[in-house]
Amino acid sequence: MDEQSDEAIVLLVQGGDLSAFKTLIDRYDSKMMRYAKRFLFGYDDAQDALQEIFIKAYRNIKSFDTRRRFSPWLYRIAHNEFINIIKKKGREPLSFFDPDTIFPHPISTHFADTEIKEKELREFLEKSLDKLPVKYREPIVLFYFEEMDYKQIATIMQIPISTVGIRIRRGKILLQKIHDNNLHI
Amino acid sequence: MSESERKDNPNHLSEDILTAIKKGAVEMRPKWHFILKIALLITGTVLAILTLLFIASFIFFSLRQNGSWFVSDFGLKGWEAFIFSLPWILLIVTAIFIIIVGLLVKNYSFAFGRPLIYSALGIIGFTGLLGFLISLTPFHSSLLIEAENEHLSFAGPIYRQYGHRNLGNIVTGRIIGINGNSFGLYSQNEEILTIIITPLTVVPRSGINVSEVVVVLGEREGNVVEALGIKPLTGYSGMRSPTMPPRR
Repeated sequence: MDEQSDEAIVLLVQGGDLSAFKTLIDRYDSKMMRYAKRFLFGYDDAQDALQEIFIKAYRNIKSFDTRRRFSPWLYRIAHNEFINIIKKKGREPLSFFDPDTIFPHPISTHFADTEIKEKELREFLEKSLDKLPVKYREPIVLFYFEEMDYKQIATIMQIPISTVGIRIRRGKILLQKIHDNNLHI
Repeated sequence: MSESERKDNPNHLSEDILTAIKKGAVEMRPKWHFILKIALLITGTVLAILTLLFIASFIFFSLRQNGSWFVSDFGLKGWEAFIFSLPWILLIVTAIFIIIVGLLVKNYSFAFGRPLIYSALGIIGFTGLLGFLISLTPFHSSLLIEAENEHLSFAGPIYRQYGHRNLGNIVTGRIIGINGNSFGLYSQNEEILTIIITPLTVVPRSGINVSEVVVVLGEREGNVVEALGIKPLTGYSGMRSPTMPPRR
């Protein structure tokens, strides 16, 4: 089963194969945990959220169309779960409506920085994620740590692709400001 | 195994979940549950779009029916009269339905993947164009006749209210007689009005004729209207004549 695609395994789960679902959990638990820990930075709910993600995935597995990719579907469930946790805790503001999604923006492509710069950036991002608002934190986590492209991020967050670009760019500018302020203190 | 030890065990997550599934605490939702959900979403979206088209086309119809659609030809005063004659409540209801349709459409991947302005403009453009085309069909005029005869329980009051609005300075009606610089008009609100033509009145080049249906913009005092502009309404259906029995 290890060599089968996620989608082929889902087909088995839909048919009632529990061991196939275990394979899916084993494939994704570390990825989901990594995503949870970074998205829910500073929250203690990552472990519970992880369990809830897989339970919801199992409950709704028959809604999954095996002609599509499984990974964005699972990440979408995770996204919803994390947003619910943040809403429940009420520690961070979450706006129902984001003006960034109204108008088209030129897609700001990510220019590959040099490896050292990229490494520095990731290290700095890792340390500063809690300083970013949720709407910038999530695309940055998905882009830099889950290594997804804009299209995948847009599907998971259900926002336009151009908005993904603008949020990543603004998030980085915000982090740059935080970084500069820290240097001046 | 203690709780912390159990949590540190990398297999505990799948074990916990599989145990819960085996015990029946977590169940897979059947396929029909999702089919029903999608069917409800599609039905809701279609109903909202149909309602939106109905209201939008009715707005166009009522503007034409009451003559206000045509008065913008009479310059600034005409535009002023047009804006004041707009059915604002219906326009607000339309705006609400545009938002509802927008929120429903957002559930579909073709909508959320694009900036909101595109969906909004798409919905507004689609509603405007299709609403206008529907307003040109006999759909609303036949419903108005049904409403006048009190055969239309659904939306009857709306048709009676907006189908024959008293707009003050905009009157539509049939010319029943011409006398020098004035003519008699049997209005669609079943009043007989005297229309005065002054040197400033914008009159049609072809002149006016008895039995013609016209829209008149002008200052009204009692049953006398000093016309600022007169425009014949060709192809206008449903206009009443004095020989017809009054509406119920």
